[in-house]
Amino acid sequence: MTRSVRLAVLVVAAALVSAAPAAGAVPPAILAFPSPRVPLSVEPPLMGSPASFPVRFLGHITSAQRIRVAVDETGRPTAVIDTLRLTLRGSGDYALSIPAPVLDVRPGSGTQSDPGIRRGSIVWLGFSPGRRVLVADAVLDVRKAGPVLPVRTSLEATVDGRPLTGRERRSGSLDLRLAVRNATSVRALAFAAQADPLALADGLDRIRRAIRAGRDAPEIPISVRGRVRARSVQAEAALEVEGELSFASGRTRGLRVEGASVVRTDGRLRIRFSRRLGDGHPLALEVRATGEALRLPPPTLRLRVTPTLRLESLDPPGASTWRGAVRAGLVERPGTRLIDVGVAAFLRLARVNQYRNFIGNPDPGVPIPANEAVFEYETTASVAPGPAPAPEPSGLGLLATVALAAGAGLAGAALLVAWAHS
Amino acid sequence: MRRRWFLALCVLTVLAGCGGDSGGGGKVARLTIVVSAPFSRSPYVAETIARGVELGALDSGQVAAGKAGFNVGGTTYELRVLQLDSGLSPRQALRNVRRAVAEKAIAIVDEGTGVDATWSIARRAGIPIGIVYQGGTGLVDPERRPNVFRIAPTDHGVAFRLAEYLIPKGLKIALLYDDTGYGQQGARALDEAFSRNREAVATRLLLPSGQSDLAPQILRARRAGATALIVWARGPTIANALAAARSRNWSVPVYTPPAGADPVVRQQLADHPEWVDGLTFAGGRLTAEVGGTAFEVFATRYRDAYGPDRVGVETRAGVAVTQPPEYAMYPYDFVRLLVAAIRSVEGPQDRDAVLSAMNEVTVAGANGDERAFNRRNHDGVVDDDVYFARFRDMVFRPVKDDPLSATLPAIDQLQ
Repeated sequence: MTRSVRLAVLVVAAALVSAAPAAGAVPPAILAFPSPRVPLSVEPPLMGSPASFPVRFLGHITSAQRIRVAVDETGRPTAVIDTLRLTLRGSGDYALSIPAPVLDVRPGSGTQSDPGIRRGSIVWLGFSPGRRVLVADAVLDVRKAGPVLPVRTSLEATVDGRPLTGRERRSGSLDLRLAVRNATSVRALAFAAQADPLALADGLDRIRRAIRAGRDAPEIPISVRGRVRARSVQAEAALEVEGELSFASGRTRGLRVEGASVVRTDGRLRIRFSRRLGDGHPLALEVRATGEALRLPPPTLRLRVTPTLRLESLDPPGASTWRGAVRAGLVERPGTRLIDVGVAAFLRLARVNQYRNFIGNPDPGVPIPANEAVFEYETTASVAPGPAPAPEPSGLGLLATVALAAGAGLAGAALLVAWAHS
Repeated sequence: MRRRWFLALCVLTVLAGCGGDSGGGGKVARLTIVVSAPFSRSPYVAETIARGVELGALDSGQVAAGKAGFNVGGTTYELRVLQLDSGLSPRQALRNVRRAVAEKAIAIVDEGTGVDATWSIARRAGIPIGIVYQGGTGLVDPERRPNVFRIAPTDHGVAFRLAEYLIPKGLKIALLYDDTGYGQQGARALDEAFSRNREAVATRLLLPSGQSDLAPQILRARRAGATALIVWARGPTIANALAAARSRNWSVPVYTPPAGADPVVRQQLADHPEWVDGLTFAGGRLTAEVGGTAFEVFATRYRDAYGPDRVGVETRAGVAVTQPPEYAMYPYDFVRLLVAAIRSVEGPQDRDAVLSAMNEVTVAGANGDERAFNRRNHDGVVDDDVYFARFRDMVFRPVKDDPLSATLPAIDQLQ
């Protein structure tokens, strides 16, 4: 049994305890959907060192993260930088020690207090006069953060059967394949049972309204009848994926694209796609482009991945509410089906909550929607031996610099220092 | 057999490196902490620092009653404090550090004078320097000066907090600074802090520190339309500036860095206690969010060991005023962090490991807050922790019109 499943067992076991007598098929039992606050895998949030000191702040902290991922020409992550923005609300001292596999940390744009770094943690100490914004650009150890990222990408571009790499520009028969896979899926233990369909429908409607209003999903007691069965299900975060493959120069002739659309802006060829991965949709997307390349360089991949709490799988079929759908007979076997919908939704919310806490918010008590995260992937130029290029002042420059440093066998953190001082 | 002799020689070498000797039962080594401070030029500051070091050493462990030390890795380390006068002279500070190297000191606790010249010598010897008074921006740089740490309010923090506090009041501020290193560093920090609000600055003037009559400079500030003064100078110059303003019936509000709380200011103005009323200084908070108990415990401990630090002035009711041991608190915390770092790496032999561990350990500070450094920040007093206090009747209290200061209790200064 994997650690993730073991965690899930704990979640569901708690739910099943109160239902145990129901196995005897006599009295009704009260169950609850799995808590979206209980993680289904060990990471995320990313692990680091145990806290250097107890986290202390009497107010509330919300977190917004922008995780920039440099990938190489095959889609493999080479650098990860998390811009962590914490907003403290409330007056008083704060002492934050946030575990993360952090190699270096710099004050981020707009921070009102500089972050510190210790082995395996980001630290902040200070006083909040009522509101304090703390921002850090944290360079993460790609060996530890890479495997925890929400999507895996694989990119292959060939011209006349030979990979298109480096700074070359080639002409010939182009074959471009991109695969993006939701990597958040884990097995989790769930339960199957039967309950009053209209009561369940009302519960799901309340959950849906709360999520749409940016509030925590309420706990809904489920009065089940008959046998309660434990079962193992796949649970994944719902991911909104937007992306493009672009070519800095060159042209194509007779281009055929599957799984994306072609646009040309500023004379550049761009292949764009937008998809939800998971949440009832396929877990992977594929893009393929074929045609004739005319002095075409390797493509640049840009991806924006947003773990979303607004689950489409919580939308009722053919009606504006679940109650309406049940009454209209649009849900087959609603007494069991709606439990399945609710369980799947809460497990997905748990996964989304994990990824919106890629680096964990030190305040675990804030509503789940108060934490946000977006993952931005981008291919960086191929790494050539020799001195690293002068870093650019933009965020992309930082990412590229760290990625290049990692690829060139230099310490990414050291180059980050150079960038930050430029 | 030869191997055993070799090992024995190594142990002796290590002990000698720590300035120690081998006792009969367990191994005993002596560790020296050098205090480099201006004992002749600023005796109050220097004595307080030295006492803080002694107390910090004692409270880090005792190997016998009243004998500071600790046991780690099977060795007993006795802590000894060596006081060296810097006389506010960088050249003398350099000599002090060379002496510390010769003594194989485990750390130098420094008022801050001359660190620009001394840090690299200490670095080569693997000696951490803990600055506990001066807040100059360039003194501490974890990347370039990995052996330099500081527990004292930074000039950057003090200047920005002063700007944050004063600009919303709509004052036209004269920035006055003296010609000492302290004043020059402060002037730089003030320039940076007010760079985005130049309209708030009426003028910028240098105060000669050796000149007792500062009337010309104060008059120039007044003619420039100043409605407030920030005087970034050592204590005597602050007192001279106050005297120059008040003796001409100019009741302009005066703000200072931590030096405004130096007893010498009140001593110089003891004949005109009303001139001190309203003087507001920025300093590192003395108490934690949870209250003043921790600092009171520390202050009592300090008083029990050395007696009260009498300022030498009285309130209008005739009660003698004492000075809270703020400048003992910082070296006290530094020594405790140093010992925590040594313990965490099982001894002082590997100097680089001790330096590295200084970035990872945390202690409960004398004011009750966590005291810690990290790889990115070697300043143990964060800018957020700068508060403001105002004098009335020769004692100071936190102001009420600043969010942090308003939360802090007043410290008893009449014991």
